[in-house]
Amino acid sequence: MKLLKPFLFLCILFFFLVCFASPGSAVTKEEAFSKYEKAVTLSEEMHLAREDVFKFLPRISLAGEALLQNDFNRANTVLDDVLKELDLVRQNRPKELQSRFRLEWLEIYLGIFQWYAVLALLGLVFGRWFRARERVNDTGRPGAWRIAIFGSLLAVVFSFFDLSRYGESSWAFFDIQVVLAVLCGFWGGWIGGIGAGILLALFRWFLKPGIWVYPAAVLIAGILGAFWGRRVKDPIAGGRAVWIAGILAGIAHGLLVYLPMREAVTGFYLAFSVGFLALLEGGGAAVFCSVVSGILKEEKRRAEQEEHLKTKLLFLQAQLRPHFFFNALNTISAICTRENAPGAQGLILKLADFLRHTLKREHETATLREEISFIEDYLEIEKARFQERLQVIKEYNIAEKTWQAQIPILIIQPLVENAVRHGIQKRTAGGWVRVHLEEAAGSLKVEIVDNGAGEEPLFFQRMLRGEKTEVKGLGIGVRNIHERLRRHYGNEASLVFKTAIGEGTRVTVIIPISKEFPPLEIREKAFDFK
Amino acid sequence: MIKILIVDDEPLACEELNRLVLADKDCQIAGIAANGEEALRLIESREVDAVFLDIDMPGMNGLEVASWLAQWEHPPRVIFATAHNEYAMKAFDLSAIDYVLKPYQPERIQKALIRLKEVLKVRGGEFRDRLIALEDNLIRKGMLRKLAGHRRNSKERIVLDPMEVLYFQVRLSEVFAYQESGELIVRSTLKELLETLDPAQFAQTHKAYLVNVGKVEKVAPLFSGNFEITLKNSKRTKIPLSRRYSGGLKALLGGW
Repeated sequence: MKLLKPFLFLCILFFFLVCFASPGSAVTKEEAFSKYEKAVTLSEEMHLAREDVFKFLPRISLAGEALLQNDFNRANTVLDDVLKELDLVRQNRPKELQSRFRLEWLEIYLGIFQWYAVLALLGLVFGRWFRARERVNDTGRPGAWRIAIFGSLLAVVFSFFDLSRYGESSWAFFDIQVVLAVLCGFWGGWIGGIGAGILLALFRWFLKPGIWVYPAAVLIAGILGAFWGRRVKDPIAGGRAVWIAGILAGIAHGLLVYLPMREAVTGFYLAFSVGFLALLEGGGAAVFCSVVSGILKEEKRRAEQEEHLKTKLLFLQAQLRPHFFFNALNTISAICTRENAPGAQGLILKLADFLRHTLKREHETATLREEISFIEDYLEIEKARFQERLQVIKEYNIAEKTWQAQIPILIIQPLVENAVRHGIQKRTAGGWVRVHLEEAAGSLKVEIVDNGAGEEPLFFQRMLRGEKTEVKGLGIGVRNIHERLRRHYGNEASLVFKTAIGEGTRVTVIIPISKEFPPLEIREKAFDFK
Repeated sequence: MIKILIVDDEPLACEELNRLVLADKDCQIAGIAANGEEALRLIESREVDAVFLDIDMPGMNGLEVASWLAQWEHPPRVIFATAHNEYAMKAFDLSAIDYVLKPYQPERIQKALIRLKEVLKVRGGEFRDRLIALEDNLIRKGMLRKLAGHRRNSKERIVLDPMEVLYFQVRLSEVFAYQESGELIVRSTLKELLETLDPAQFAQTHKAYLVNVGKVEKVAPLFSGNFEITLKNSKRTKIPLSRRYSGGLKALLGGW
């Protein structure tokens, strides 16, 4: 490489010497005529571009005229210039060609990317709406046929894009139909794969009768897809199998298309084309499947999470062992009778009621009456604990009909519990809790007021904003109530706190009840005992 | 006077209920039974108008007692007692049968007794229908190890023990249970049967067949790759076993 620069330098020097040495000598007639001929043939051979034709042709004809007038010197200088410029044009041309070539390749790459995007989108649609989680083993024959017919229809539609774009199917290169046939085989089993393969082969035969290579390629792709998909039970884990099926289909496709021209191209070119095709088509199939498996994975994760929560709840319930608990309470209740303790018995029955209500909470809503009786049971038990320190005031000003309104569960009770725990319990002298219900313009207004310890005025605002507060176990409850109210009713419900240290707390909840709020599960109809 | 039988395996629970029932002047206690068998004996031997029947008892449980009573022409009224059995509670609601929860609330017991008195004033045989409806509900939910069916052209309901069944077959959307004594139309679907029956006892052998594994005598291969099962009954009935289900049965029978 070190010698390259001096060599070039010498060449240029030599070139200049030749150029500058020649004009000195006189120009012969033959020389001028041969140059003229050369210029004419060159300009014809090069298929000059339009603007170049206008640039060169007048000058060449000028030189011709000069030759006719035996003005060889003038002709020579003109022709020298023309030849030099023609040479320049010729030197520049390969670059142009190369760049055109590059542009074409860029377009092909872009086309492949577009097909990949289309495949990803198809995967999304398939994963979401076509219940891909049921493999063909479960969907049975009609499902497989559906896959075959739908897949090949889609492939036919896609081939029209290429036909309208290039006026020619692009079956010699990255072929979306081959990829779709593999996918049909993978998801639709033997029926899906061979069905789609035959349908597409028929389409190709119809479009290009007499050429068996292209129909064979799709049919083989369908069979390969089915073959590699036959053992895959879990579509989430099938990524490698479909990748292999796609690559094999690509190799088969490449060999079918390029092997007939093995004499015209080099072995390297052949291997490169086949390998590249295999990678592209395998990748296309894998893109589709990875999107589907991503969706399925996400679905599965969500289902598992839900299941997990459910089992956790069941587990908690089981830990409480309600059966044992209620039987035990029944025994204690009987002993209370024996030992003549009606007060204890009453409390035990309330406790049982309270517990049963807590356990029954499988639905997200309850009637107002159920919720209030739950609260009353709770207050009854707390009253027994605190005796005179806790006074309960009930003010219910609502119509009979309103008692049947459905409200979200555990909205009011935690607020009452907070009033007792953080208001009254903290105050040595005790205090009262007032539960006030009233109806106003289609809404239920619930007020829970206590004259207990209270908090600083902005305490609840800060808490709702999510700031840390010192009172343990209060934040989550109140925030949770706030969240649920907003989720159920949007802006129609409200939760307002008013408090001051030493002056108690007033919580006002407004819940719309005019709006129908159906229970999540229609409960079995009540019966008459006749 | 209404004669009431109390059935519960816990003495204190019986004592409490006894007291609550006697608080009503119109009621008297016909007896107290500690288990299902004793309860059935007492109901047969004495005159009983109504039974407070606990569900969870050792041996024969309350639901099984009710299932027995459903076969009687004039069963006594039944009021179930349970601590916490949501499935059973749902079944009671569906068949309009009253139940009380433990621990017993005096008001609730009083209410149940008042209803009972009203109902007994107008005597009718329709309570048996409710018991039958309850039995059907329980069978469907797999809470009774029993099957309900009827013969063709007859409305008479027959309750059978699944262990006695040789095999089930679906024919034209009806499910038949085959016993040594003949065939019976069952009200459940094959899928429901698969869910409720003991999977160690019954195995699917074909799209339309469910076989009692204990009644299989031999399994013979056919040329098609399917099999044929010969059963232990007197007729040596043969039923098909398709390739698809052969694996499961093979595992249950311990290979062949």
